[in-house]
Amino acid sequence: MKSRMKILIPCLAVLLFASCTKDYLNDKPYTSVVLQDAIKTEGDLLVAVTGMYSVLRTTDLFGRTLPVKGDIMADNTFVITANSGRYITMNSFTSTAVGDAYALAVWQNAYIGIKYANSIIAAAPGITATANSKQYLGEAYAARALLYFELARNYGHPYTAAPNDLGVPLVLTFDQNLLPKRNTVKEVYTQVIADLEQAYSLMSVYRGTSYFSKYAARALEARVYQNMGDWANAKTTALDVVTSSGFALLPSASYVAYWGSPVAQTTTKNETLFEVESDYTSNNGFDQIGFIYLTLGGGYGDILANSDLYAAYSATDVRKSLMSTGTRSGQAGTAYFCNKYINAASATDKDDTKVVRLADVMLILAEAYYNTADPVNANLYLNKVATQRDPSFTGWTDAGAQILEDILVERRKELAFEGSRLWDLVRLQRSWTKTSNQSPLVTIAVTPTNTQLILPIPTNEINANPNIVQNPGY
Amino acid sequence: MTKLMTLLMCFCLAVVQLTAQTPASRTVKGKVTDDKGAGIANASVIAKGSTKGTTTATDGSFSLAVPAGTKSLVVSSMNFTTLDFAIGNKETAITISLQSSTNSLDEVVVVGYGTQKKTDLTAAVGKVSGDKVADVPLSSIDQVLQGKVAGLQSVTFSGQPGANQSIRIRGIGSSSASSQPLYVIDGIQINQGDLSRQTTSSNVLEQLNPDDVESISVLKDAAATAIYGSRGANGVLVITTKRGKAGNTRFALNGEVGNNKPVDLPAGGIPLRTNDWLTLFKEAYTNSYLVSNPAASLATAQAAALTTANNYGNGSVDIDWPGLLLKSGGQSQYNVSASGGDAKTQFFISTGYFKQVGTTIGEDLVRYSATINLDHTVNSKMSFSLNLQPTYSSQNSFISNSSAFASPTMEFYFMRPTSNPYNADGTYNVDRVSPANFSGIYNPLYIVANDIHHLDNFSALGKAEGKYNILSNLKFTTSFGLQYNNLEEFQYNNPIHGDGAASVGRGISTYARYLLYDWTNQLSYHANITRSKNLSLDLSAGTEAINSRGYFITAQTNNYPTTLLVDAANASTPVTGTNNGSDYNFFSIFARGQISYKGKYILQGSFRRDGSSRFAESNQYGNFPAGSIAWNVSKENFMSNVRFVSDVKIRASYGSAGNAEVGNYGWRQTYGYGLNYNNQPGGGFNGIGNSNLQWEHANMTDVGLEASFFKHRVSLIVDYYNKVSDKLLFNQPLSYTTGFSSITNNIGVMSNKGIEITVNATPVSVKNFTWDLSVNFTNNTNHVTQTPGNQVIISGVQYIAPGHDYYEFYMRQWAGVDPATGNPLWYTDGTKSATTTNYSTTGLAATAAQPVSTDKSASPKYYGGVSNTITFKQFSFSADFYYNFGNYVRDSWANYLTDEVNPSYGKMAYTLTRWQKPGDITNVPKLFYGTTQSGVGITNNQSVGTSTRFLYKGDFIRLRNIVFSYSASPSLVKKLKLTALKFYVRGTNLWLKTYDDRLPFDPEQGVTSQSNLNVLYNKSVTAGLNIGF
Repeated sequence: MKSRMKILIPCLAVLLFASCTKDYLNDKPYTSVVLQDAIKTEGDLLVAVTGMYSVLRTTDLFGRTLPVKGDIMADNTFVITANSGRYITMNSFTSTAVGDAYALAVWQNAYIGIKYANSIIAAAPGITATANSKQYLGEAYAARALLYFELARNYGHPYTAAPNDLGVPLVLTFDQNLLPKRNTVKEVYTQVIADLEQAYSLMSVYRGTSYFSKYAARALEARVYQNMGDWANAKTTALDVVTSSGFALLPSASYVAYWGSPVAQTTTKNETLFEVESDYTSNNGFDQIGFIYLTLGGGYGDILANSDLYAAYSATDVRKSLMSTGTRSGQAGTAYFCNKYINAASATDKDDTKVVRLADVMLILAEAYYNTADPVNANLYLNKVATQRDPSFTGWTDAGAQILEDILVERRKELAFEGSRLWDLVRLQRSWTKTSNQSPLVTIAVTPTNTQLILPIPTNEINANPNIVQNPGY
Repeated sequence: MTKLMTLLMCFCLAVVQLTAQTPASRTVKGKVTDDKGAGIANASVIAKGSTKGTTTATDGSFSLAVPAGTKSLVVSSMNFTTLDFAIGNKETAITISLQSSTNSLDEVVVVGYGTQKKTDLTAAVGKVSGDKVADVPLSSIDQVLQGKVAGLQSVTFSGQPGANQSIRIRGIGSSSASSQPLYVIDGIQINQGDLSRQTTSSNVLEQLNPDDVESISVLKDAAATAIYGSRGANGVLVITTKRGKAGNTRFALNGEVGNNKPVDLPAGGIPLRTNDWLTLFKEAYTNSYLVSNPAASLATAQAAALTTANNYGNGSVDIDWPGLLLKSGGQSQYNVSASGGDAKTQFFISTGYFKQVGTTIGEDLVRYSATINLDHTVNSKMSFSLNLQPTYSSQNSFISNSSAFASPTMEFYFMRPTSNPYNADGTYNVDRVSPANFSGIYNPLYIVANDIHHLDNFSALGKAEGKYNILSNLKFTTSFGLQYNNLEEFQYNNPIHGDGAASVGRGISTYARYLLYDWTNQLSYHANITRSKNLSLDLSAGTEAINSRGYFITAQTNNYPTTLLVDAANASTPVTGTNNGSDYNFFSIFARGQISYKGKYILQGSFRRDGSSRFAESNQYGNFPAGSIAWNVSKENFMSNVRFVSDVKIRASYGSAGNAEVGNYGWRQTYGYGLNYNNQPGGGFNGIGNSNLQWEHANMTDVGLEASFFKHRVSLIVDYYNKVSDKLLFNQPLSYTTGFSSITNNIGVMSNKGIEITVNATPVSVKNFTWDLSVNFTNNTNHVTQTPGNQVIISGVQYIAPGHDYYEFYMRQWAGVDPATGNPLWYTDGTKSATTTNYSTTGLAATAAQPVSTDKSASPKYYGGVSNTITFKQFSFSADFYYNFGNYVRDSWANYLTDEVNPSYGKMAYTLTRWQKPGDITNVPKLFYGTTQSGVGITNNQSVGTSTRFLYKGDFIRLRNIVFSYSASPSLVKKLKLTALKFYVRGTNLWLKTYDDRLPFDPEQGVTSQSNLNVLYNKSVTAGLNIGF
């Protein structure tokens, strides 16, 4: 009897234990909650919007790749021979569908951002509408528009050349089983405009330059119309920003300091309409944009500017100080450096990447006036930028088609290293000579038919989604 | 937990209250000998049915006071079959002869949840005894297992002291989940692998001193592993530590010291020195210049080349980077143990010190370990035991692979011989701006001298076990095991040069703590069903609860005011301060039954039902049954006349086990945080989850033959196995437009079929001379049989498709160098009928619709070991070879280290064989400078693009281990008042034979057979002394 008791105790323990296995086998994760419980209040909405912005900061979106690509594939910059292996395919126009890391990463991260924006837009109807909650929702629409716009022009032919060619799939609600076809470029642009209009009407709170605001959405809209060649709408939207936003250009004396500061504006409205923030704790580390240009503090220093870009600035142009000359290990001759991103090694804050600036909007407006047969206003807005940057410059005074060329020169000088140049050349169907190495000199003659001008759809997407058609040339 | 502990305590206390009475006694004397009559020292002699026991003296003699009425003695000794010897009324001159258990089917083998006599075993189990893994200059037993057991592949990828090791039993059994076997140490299903968070590689098993290991059982088929249910599919390694034996206290002192060197690089893989490096650099530049400027003269081109070469420090210095970054290291270990006890209480206590100084600068490992194993028999009904193994190790390992430019092992190849690491005044050169210096990559000498990558690893393995014999044939066992791992890591990057420069110095501390408990309760029952004892039954059943909790802290502070202090308390700017956790639970019931008829026919069945927190409620439980049968043919009457056959057994098994190593929370659809922006907290929908997730299943068939001949002089084990792993977790690719790249789903099927052969033989055994030979051979064929949608999955360079090996390489097919032009050529498609010079548009690999595999796999087709031991008088010589055939190894860094596409980096010597003039037959094309310029008619320079050009045969034979030893004769040992004395010299990895002349590095490059610029392996020579007294 006694010995039976001895086994009863542990057996009982086992039984007790077995009866509570349901709880025993329920381990919950420490850093995530159930999706359905996540966005319930205005505060939750803010957290979700903040998470969405962090995706824009990704190295292969606005963190580095998009602003770098627009210069390196154009005629502004090149990768030196002694490099860390980054942006080679863009520099030599040798992207391939298989294994092109940028084609994959831009696609993947853009759709992650779109997923976040979609989940905010889906959750919003359940939350009481206040000025703040509407602002956050508007920011989600603006972010979705921005990402679809970048997808459309990076993976689809230019709207100005082939609006009915394939763009990218429009996914507006989450469905894991989705195998979408590519929408046309035109369809994507239509959605982008619709989202920006939504954003414009929803937003009313100015949270600073690191968040979308009403006029940041409007400025993006102007850029979208510019890329479409829809000059009437480009004019309307750009003019709205210039006249109503309250944003102003900085005087030339403070322009270099403006670039030297990594701090996003919270109440002031100088130059920047929207920038993607990198702060001291949340940044891309060695993949920050500054390190691809400078060796400072351990950077790669892989990319140098072309000498003709440096030569384009007059000696009195304040923007010339945003470049410098020197030597770079393993690179014969003078090296031209970009100094727009000098805070990568800062111990307080890191460089933000500007997504849309007032100077850009003014130049869009100038171009819109030019295209709507108003050369006076075209030169007026062109010179608002040009004379502000170079106090000694008396202004452009050309007429006819030369105005457009002047605008393009000014755009190149103003927006260098901000990823803009390629899109000017592409939307206008220009040809150019790209320097892919300085020593020995290697150049590529780029024409509008060059298939490398748009990225391949990543093979991973095509393998997973048979409804996707690859871009020609890949 | 608390409830559980209280119950356990109550149980133990109840047990202790009972004590036994000692009856009157008599003294018996005698001698224990082997079958040749030689005395066996230290054999255990216990009076059956009592707690009285002793151990034999050096000559085998013993004297033991036994209780009156004792009818027999139980005599046991290592490598001998335990004997129940009837003494009747004899009191003196009792001679007890023991049968050797080596090469015998009578030995006892540790299996899951118990032991079984080898003759009764119906399963495929490989056994490695502790003496085979002791005193080896390797930090963990998984490294020592290479070549020791058929069907077990132990794959090294790094020579970093303390590095993790991959073990594959019967091939790769999973895609997304782990393919590592389950490790069970003294009954505890441990957390294994690399638990560190910053260290390039660390290994939980390194915390177990190999000298404390008594035996390792490698469970391979379903009959053995299905009892481990959801964790048995990849095989199980059951490790048992040493325990004390009744008798005189025995001490063992083992000491070993030696020297390490990196293994030799093949001549083609040695980095070039300045002269050669510059020759290639200038030649490439000249070639490119002449393409850009067709009108230029050769002299002009060469002058331009010289100008650029001057930017790389033309010829002024000639640095031997391997000489600076590699060195000879040290190796030492000391182990002391004491074991013994009386018939009631036995103990094994040991302590060990192990130190390995790596052969790359900045790498070392020191381990202090201890083991206390206690056994106490309360009375004939009750016993308990306690294990405790606290271990501390300290590991310095600089980034020891290709993951960062601060890695010495990477820079060993990447550094230009023209970059001088020293300034004229002897200080380190950290200049990053001017030509020739450390612009792209850091000065590794400065980094190693100033940065810190340190791991403090404290762990403890402990177990309390109680046994109670409810009836003479019904036993209850409860055991509660704990595994505690505490990893404190500190990384410091100096503010001057390297990864810390961008943040003005940074200090990163991480803390990881894992606490696991494994509580097992088990009832074992033995019965003779028939009165004749011809039919016997063994049953055992139990429950097991496992809980593991991981807790992690990360703290980073940047911006150091000084280079004199490294701790983050001195820095100004906190960057990260977080904690996190990760837990899992298992609850299981299991049972095993075995019926044996006369020991001839044995039928076994096992069953386990597992529940795990890693799956959603609807799929939380899985059932894992197995059945097996064995026929001891040699026990049949018709075999009694076949004299040369000692034993023959045929066995077969079928069953299923699972694989639950899928990540702790993978099934949950989650919204996660930490997506911060502008110093504000952010969150997002980041986990797609899949509530349908369930275990991977492996259905395993095994047919085996075990035979021994000529009185066990030759033994043979042959197994055929077929392991079909289904419901494999595959990352089913999703359209990226969903915002996710894949969803984990149970869709794959994979099979591993193979043959394992083990032969142990003693070809020569004459007076004073024996030659023992042990050979094992494994042939494994892996096939993926089903993928999501049965589509080809391209994962980097891996080609996963039905009908193909899981680790098949996928890349462009290299067609060689055109002898006429020096241009690189690739085949245009799988038919290999046409070639092209254009890498970008080469069809073979680039066509997404019809990708073609190279049919070359990273996994070996054949592997195994050959061991020879020759003993002559007191001398012994042994040599263990490991061989591996049929796989291919990829050089994943060739794009930097050959040709001149990336001219600023170091170059491997084989680049010198480049094409120079028409007619040259070579594999290295005409050199062009940089990424953009190639020969006429080619738009870019992609000769180093991923292709079969950089795929090499991985076949090799390595002399893993060679030992020459002298053991003092019994008479000398006795004269010295010792029990054992042995001196040895051991060589590890001293010789290697490869079968591809082009292979530029060591063929052992991990499971995926891709070079990752890891720390080179060591070859070492050590000398040791073992003393027993």
